[in-house]
Amino acid sequence: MALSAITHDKGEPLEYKDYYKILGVERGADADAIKAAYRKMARKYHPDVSKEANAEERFKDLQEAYEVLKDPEKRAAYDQLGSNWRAGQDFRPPPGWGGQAGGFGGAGFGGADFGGGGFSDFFESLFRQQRGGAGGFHGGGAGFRSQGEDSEASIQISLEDAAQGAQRDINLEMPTLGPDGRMRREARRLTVKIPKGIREGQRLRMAGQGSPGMGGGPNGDLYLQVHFQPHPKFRVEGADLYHDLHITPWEAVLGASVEVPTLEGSVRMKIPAGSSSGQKLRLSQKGLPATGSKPAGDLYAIIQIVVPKNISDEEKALWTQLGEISSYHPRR
Amino acid sequence: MVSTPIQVIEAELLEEGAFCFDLSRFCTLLHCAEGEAVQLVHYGVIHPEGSGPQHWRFRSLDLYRARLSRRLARDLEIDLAGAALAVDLLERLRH
Repeated sequence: MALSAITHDKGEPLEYKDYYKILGVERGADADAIKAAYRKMARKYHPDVSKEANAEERFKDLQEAYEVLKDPEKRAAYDQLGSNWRAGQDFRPPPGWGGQAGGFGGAGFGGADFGGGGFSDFFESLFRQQRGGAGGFHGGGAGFRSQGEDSEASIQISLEDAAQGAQRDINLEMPTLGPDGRMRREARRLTVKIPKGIREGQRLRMAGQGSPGMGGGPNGDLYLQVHFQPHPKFRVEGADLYHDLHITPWEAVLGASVEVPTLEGSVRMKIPAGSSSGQKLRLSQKGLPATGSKPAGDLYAIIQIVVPKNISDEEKALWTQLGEISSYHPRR
Repeated sequence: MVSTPIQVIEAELLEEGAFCFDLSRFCTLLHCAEGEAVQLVHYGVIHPEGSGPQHWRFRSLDLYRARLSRRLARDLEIDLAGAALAVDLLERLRH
């Protein structure tokens, strides 16, 4: 009984988790020390606050460790496993293990907001014995009905997708409620309609696509924050686009008609005679398209006068001649 | 063989700046009781336009701030006043 209860569904051994090590406390730490350690570490690794690369994973481990060690019954059950295990070690339960854990009222705790949800298989296997018992966070017991949590994720799209609208597949690791009532983190693929004209940082709400509800409660919602992939030709500020327009010195002096890229293809633009580097030329309504109450943006071509690095003898002679006959002295 | 139809999720675009939700809609989106929204306003987590709950209008940014404050309050075990401060500081850091 015990072995099957504390292995993967496939019968593979689980990876032991050292909850004391995760929280950075001694095995004999009292409740106050555990609470203090959790709060300190949670501030460091909370995904909304932390800049650490693995913050989300670390925070989930912290939540799981705290969930066990703050609860005397769960802690006692965990401690019964003994202190000889090392983190990451293949875990096999001691003979006679099973069912000691106190009531656990449901999975899907905590980090569900970050597209995760559910604790590790190690935790689930230890504490799922009496699912539906008292003290749960979400509750899994009979008659308990709760709304699933909203989830947050971000998506990177191209500027072209933002301008034209698109249908894009996204892959998320989301909590899913299995037929056995266990909350698992599973890869989900969603096809999302990106509305035309969306701006950097805006959020899309997908009703009912967040964490599953419990006891027949409705699912939470999924919020996707949109970010733009860097574009080789444009920088984006709000709805406006900026393009560095490289022109030659003679085009700057004499004026010219040059091709300027836009999100809808190239257009010709007149460069006035006597243009200088840094000057902005505006192409009205060639930025991101209008959406809702937001008007369309403009495209600004920023003039950058570039000079040839390698020139022929003939060119050199002409530049020299130009220098001799010109009365223009910008530093005077 | 019949191929499985692809489910395309319709997404609702939330405008950042516009004050577009009344209290009822805001509470529906946040899955909360009106009392919780009123508390969030009183603690300065969210800043609706308009005088009094009947006339309040919220932005989608308020919705995000409310969700963020909930996560912070729950996960860091801080009260609403602390969460409001954290939300403000995080917003300042990002801008």
